[in-house]
Amino acid sequence: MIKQWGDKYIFKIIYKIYIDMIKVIQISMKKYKVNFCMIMLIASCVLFQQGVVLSQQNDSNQKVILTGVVVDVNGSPIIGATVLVKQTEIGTITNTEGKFKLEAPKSSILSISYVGYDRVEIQANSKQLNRIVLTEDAKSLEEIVVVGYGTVRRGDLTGSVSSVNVESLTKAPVASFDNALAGRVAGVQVSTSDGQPGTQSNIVIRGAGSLTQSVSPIYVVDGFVFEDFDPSSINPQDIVSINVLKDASSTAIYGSRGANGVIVVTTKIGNIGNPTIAYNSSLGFNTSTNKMKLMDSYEFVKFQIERFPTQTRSVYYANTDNTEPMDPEVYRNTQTIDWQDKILRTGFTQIHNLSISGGSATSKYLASLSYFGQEGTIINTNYNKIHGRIVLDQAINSKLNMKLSALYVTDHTSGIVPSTAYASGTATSTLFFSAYGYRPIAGLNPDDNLNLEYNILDLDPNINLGDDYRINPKLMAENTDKNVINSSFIPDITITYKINKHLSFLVKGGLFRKIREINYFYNSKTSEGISRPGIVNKGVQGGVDFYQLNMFSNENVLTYTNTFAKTHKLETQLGLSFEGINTSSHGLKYQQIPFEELGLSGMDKGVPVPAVSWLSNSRSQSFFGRLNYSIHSRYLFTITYRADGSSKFPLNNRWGYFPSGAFAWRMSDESFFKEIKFLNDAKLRVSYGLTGNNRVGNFDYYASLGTPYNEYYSFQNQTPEMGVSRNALGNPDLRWETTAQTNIGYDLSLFKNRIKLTVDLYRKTTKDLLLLANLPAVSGFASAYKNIGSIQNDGLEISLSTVNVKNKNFSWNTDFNISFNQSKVLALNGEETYMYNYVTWENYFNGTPLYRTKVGEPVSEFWGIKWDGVYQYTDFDLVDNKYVLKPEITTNGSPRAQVQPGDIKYMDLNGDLIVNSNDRTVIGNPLPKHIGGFNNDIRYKNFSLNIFFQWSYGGQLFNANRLFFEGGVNVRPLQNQFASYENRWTPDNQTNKMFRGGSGGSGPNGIYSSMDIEDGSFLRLKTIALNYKIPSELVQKINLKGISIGLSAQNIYTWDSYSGLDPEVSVRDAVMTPGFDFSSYPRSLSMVFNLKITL
Amino acid sequence: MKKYIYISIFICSLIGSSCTDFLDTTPTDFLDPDVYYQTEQQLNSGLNSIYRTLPNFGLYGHRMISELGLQADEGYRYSTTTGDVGHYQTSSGDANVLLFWTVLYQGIDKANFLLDNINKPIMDSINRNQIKGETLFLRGYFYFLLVQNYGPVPLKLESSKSLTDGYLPRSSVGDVYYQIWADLTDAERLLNPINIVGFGGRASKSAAQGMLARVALFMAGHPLQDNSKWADAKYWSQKVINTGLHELNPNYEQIFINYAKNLYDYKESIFEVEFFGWNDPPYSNAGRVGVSIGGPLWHVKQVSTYGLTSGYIYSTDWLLNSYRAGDKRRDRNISNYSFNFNTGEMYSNLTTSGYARAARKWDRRDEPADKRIMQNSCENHPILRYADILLMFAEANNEIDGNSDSTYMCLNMVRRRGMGLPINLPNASVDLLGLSKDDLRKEIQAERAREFCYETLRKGDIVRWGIFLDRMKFADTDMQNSSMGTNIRRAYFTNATARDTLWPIPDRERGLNPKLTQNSGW
Repeated sequence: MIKQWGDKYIFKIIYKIYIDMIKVIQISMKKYKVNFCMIMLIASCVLFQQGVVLSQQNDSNQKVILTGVVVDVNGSPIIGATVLVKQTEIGTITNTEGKFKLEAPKSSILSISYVGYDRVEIQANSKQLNRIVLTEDAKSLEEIVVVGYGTVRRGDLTGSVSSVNVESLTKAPVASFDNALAGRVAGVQVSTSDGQPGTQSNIVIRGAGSLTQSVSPIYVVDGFVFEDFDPSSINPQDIVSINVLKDASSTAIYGSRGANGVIVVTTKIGNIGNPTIAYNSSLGFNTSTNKMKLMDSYEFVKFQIERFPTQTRSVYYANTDNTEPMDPEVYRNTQTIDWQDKILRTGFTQIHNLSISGGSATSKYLASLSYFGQEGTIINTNYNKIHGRIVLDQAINSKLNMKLSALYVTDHTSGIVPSTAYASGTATSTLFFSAYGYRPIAGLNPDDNLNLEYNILDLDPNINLGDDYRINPKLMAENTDKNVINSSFIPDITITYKINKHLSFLVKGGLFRKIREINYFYNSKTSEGISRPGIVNKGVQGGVDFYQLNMFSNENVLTYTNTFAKTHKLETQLGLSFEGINTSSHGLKYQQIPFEELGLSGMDKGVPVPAVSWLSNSRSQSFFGRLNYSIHSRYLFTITYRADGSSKFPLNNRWGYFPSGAFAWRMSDESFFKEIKFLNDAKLRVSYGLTGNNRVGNFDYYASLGTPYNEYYSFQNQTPEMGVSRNALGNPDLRWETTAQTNIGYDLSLFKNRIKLTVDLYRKTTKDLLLLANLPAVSGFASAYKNIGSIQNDGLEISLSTVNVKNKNFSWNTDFNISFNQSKVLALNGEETYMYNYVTWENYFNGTPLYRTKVGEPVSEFWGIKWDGVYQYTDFDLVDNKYVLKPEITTNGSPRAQVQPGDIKYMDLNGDLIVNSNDRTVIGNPLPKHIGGFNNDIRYKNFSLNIFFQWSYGGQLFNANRLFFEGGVNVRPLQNQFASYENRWTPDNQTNKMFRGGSGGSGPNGIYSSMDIEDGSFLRLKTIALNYKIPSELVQKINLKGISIGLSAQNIYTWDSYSGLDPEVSVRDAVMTPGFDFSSYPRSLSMVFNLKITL
Repeated sequence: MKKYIYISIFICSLIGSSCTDFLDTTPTDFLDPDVYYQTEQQLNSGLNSIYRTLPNFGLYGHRMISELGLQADEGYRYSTTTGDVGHYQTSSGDANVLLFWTVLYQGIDKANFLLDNINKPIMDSINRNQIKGETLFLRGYFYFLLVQNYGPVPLKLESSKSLTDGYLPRSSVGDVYYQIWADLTDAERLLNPINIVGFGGRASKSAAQGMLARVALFMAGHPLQDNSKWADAKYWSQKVINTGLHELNPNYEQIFINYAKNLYDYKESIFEVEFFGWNDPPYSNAGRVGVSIGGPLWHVKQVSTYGLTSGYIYSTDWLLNSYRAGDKRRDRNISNYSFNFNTGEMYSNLTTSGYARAARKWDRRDEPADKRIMQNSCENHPILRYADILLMFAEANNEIDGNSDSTYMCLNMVRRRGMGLPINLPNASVDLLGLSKDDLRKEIQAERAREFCYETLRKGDIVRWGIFLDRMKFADTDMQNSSMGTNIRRAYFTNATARDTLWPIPDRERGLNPKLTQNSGW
């Protein structure tokens, strides 16, 4: 309260408070028990006393030396806290003992601040200087929230903006903040496709608003807008705040790019004071959380006998007579080679951060350098990142300020990617197909097993090297040399000029230069480069691809603020921005490389292969404005408008217009609410607006001609001549995708802000969907961009923060959030009422749709045949010693005569007694019903503990691994299976779960059924971080400002019922193909030891 | 106040200077279809891409010559992984069925688009006619492949111009055939004679005439059964014969050696798919002729001699035994050797059943020694041979009770060549004479199998003759009684049902275009 008033009013204020208190007491007396009133009385007396003290020292302006100590609630000194004399440029920072000393007018007010703590303002001559206690930032109404093109007091927010608890987020030992974001913010769904190190998260805010186009939010980092941004470009340790803008009122200022939500990140700049050097380091390990249980040698041979009797006899029973039955008991308790063990390891993780910062009132600086290194849990897969940043914030004079910053980040992902098949047509060429499917035993002779273990190929003649691409998984992973190296350089400059008290102007210019290099060298021990005996392939191959992005952006914003008649506050902004992006890609590729020992540098000795080369560019230009108007801070209005022009659309549709409006009513300020004393704040927010999405290719509206080599034709054995054909039909009517969003929110803060509740209800309707729509092949084209269809997302978000315990030694805060989102397709392409979607992973299945998106239903549903267990003997008549399917029982799609007891059984939905594509139906829903997180911050003396849980409930997964490893049509000879398939149907084990092992048991090929749909719900103990701050007395003895040590762990335990490795999986992740699992990289548990030293 | 003015000027200048042209960008990575096709050269480039349809992976590039074109009684595909259209065990989601459809309609749109632009360049009219004729020939052939395999299909004769094109209903089989007829007759008028064209890789007048004869036979057969077409078949096949430009290659084996060695013999090989090289970068024009079928599955120890072949298809007893002793075609078409599975040793399998003998026709030993181990081959694949013209003439002439002398002459020329005898010299031990019309029809049907097995013609033939199911059931029973009659081998024949005369309309297409109906049984 004090800070808003001049010194001479202090007494007045105190008096006013006192009078208010008396009134309160009078009211309370009627309602509350006497002891409560006593507390209030005491409190008011204390305040009054203080007021008296303050008032006594009024009116003295001479300079004095002020000293003080700044401590936290535990009494530990806070080192490096900024102490500023208000309305002057005098300032200092606290030393290692938390003490400060400065000269200031006797009557001045000191403002004491430190990152992560609430700012405190104290009269210079207060006794409190002896012990200034900073409490941790409680996200109060005064908290400044960074929103698009500006900041706003949380209390004045009209839109839906969630702030991330950055302090607990950054405790997770991860490479990038997005990896720890899941479950932290209501309405924000964060997932990664699998556990591959360096994988970027897929972030979806308030449900997918687009079907085929990117649904990822845009990022605004210190005011710089990025469309396709890799969050790992930001060092988590540099982050000050992360705010997620969700409703149209907050995002419409970003117009055509706002529809997917906006993540606003603010990074550190230096604090006023002496240079502070901070070093922190985390060292630890990461290990796979799960592996599949496979058949042992005995179970394997038993299965082979059932499935491939001829082959099994020649391999495992070579010395037996053809008439003699094969006895699997021979292989009981023999050696079993565990191929998963051979490719999995415990990896080492290290994180180092070094920063120096400091500054004066006119100039602040910060430089930081960090390194993140992680060995993946699959051998030879690694992720490394180096990150450097420098910021200088310089006030040139009282009106002009300039901020310069530059960021350089480079990361390097290397090693095999298990979820991709090198021979795209066949799933057998993936890493885990080999790891699960390589046989566990070669025979009874130990030499055979050694050969199997150390040779790259299993040369058993029963394995058809032409359609079975298994190779030794250990050698495959060891030898795959694939590197993705990203480097980004982002310099930017921000100039602010205060024209006068009410008017300021901001110019921002920035560059974003990104280079991605992908290089690979596949030697003769990799799937790609191997020479299979007799098969001439492309031989040893290598290549490099460079992708470049150069973006420039310029933003100019004029801000006007004024208060009229003391209660009418007005803030307006007008802006103009320009952006241009040039992209290009160039590559080199060679095959038949003769000297593989030279690696990539000997690549040019090989035969050149056509590689990629293209250039492209896009431009955009925008005008935008915002008007914030409030009366008594009680009635708050926001109006925004943006006009966007983009080169991605044809002339007639080039400009898009995106208005929005919001109203908030702080009910708690109304007199009738003021009487409810435990209520600190209650605010109702309503907003509506339009946002857009322009995520299409730069020239997708053009028709185009192509001349690829595969259009060439050779006549008379001459060198092929050029072939030219149209490769895109274009769409001259392409236009913006528009999302209309209504948001109703309610914020409630109770019991001195110890309970805070935010509830938001929204409806998001996207129309004119930018859709890469399938075209009938009859048109001659596979697909084209169209503006068709409409999707609606309805949702509810609840966030609850509580301070459960708060005292000197012990505090416990919790944050809980839960979000529900329900999507519904309102329309698709004209007469088209549904769209099928396919995943590409295996020839025999690629042509069968696994997903369907239908008007009136959620965005994506699993589509296939309903599984009905296994045919039992009762389904058959015994005719001439043969089992003949009863006439009223349906086939499973195989010819009736071939169906036998133990075969897989499907449901015949249309009653024609044949199961075929007409019997397909919805077999599952990949989208979760609700997601959320539960965070606990516990502090006891110098110990702090963070425990974070994350969950996802109600989404289903398709476990395609089971199509190959629990029987299945495509099982190859000598291919191992999951141990679960041991429980298959046999005459002695007439289960209804797994079909029989023999050939034909799995029915026709290319069928997706509900058998492999599984529940993907999970609750994950995501992060535990324990920290101990060494008491400052001890630290000061060795001349340091602070030391803390700790342990943190990520992905500790998951409760789920999924039979695969991990329920958070989606290896073909896209809006219309979520939740597909095949050969995924196992997720890892990381645990690190942390040390943080401040000099 | 000055500052306001400066700022205003700054902003205005930014807006003024950039509003108009800042957002204008031009694509740099592709050409504009509206302004291309200005020269003869550019028309030819367009034509090349239409030809490129034929060697596509989904057609003669792989799928047709390893399974899709061969699902008849001439052999069976044996592999442990079953469950696709190649085994008659499939659904409307089959990727190969979709690919076949997609590739052909892409080719049709390319042809339609070239026809739109055909008159743009200023050029010699003979050359323009040749290009137009080739385009029409190919469009007709593409529809012919479609109608044979899917029955009624959408007829699209205009290039796609907007995104709403392509949502067409199926036209009746008759309408499709009449369009094919129109395209081929136009092509026949426009195309140059084969001696001018000079080789079988380009469409020529002979190719169009021969194709008209084939189409006429199909129209006369199932499902249209338009009896008036027998006469057309005779007329057009006779036209080819009467050109005097064609004659049978005296050596049956030489035909296939020519394909492997990239030698052209337009007298015998009237129209063929061209494959080039072994996919050495940057070109990707190699095929799999010889790789898919070319004798028994390769063995490591034999690969340098016999070449790399997948041995997809095995013969049937019926086909093997239908050759008379001494018929040179038997051992060319069906291998008389095998490799020991474990040791790789080559052994003669003359005594084993046809079901255990791999189809051989495209023997890779005819390729250069250093190339026969490549995963792809340069071997061309025939679409229309002169022997076919002769047998089509014989068949049509027999049906319309034409002069039986000419029927027997044509048939016997093919038979004599098969035996390695002089083609034009009557030979009592080989020649057929004096059969009833029905018996002669049966002989011609069998002769076609002996002559054209594994050339992707047999299924079309037995479907148009209306004997598809009979032949498949026959093979099923026959195989069951042989020593090779395991379920998995036989599956191919067991699975075939009445619906299999046609493939299903692909799911994807029906999902997009509700006007498309499904074939019965799918």
